[in-house]
Amino acid sequence: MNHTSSVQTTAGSMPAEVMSGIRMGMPIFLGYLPLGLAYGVLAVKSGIPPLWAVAMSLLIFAGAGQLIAAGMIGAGASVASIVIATLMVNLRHLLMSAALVPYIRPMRPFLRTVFMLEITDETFAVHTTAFRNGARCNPPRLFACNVTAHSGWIIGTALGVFSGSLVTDVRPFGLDFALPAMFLALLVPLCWERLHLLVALCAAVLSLLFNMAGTGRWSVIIATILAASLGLWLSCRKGDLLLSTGNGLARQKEEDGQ
Amino acid sequence: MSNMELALCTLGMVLVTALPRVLPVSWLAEKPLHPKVHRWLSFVPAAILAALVAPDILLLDGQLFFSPENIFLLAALPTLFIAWKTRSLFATLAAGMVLVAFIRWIVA
Repeated sequence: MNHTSSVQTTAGSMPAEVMSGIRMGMPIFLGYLPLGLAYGVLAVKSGIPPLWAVAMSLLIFAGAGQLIAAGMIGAGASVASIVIATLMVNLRHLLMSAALVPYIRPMRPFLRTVFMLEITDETFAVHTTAFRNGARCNPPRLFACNVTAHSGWIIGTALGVFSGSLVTDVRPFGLDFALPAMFLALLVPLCWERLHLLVALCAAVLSLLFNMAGTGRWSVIIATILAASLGLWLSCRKGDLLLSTGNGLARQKEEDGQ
Repeated sequence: MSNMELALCTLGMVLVTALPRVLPVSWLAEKPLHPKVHRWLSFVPAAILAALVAPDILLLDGQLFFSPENIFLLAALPTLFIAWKTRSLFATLAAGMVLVAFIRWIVA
């Protein structure tokens, strides 16, 4: 199974595009089941009513944010501190959304906004990889992918809250490795140039250092900003800036003219 | 936490999750991006995922955890290899979780 091969570079019929989007989102769906399950179990153990926990997955759709919030609610934290912690872990989506904007320009502004509401680490990585491989901005496919992923999160949560008493420990099943394994799988195709691999390594080291220095949830954002800036600086020094953005602009024009 | 507090908390979380996702749409969508900004943004995906995953695998209680007892580290290397070979999200995820379960079963 190869999710990059399902990318369509030519516009197909609407049902075909929706099917293509579901295929894009299916691996995320399957990955979110164990992740949502872990959240559901934790949520009910923290005293969140089962249906409320499922509603949060429907309305919020933020894996890391919800897991952290459930833990904090269980620990008796205040509303303000939970909302601030959620904001800090979600700030990275600002960078992701900004990186996707150039690709979804052909959509109407309202659709762009709705599309971005379902951007997570995983849907972001899958869309970025598809766009890099020349996929067009096709709303039915993009939304089908996002909705597939989102349903995995909701169904996983439901499984978790209603089986919370059955699953006492997720570790014997390796469920706690679902998130790191998914990050690794998404990272590999994103290192499409040697420079991107270097930037990724640099971000990993910086993130470790900041975490050890105690910057906590800011670590990911600071490490990302510094590593991406290093990448840009090296690009400028190598003089490949014109070449690479030239390609990007050419693709942009092609999509705009669609 | 009372129901009122839970409702407030949820509302707050909906807002702080949605805002970072949708703000760039109105900020950036209408004018073309400067080539340097475009290039900078191209590094964000790889950097963010690496920054997210590194502490999950290499840290324990805020300290580096380089040891054969670090099961996530043991599993991460073959998982990366499978990710590189198959380029499949599902195969990588399944292999990674089975590996971790298997290593724990052996160690236990």
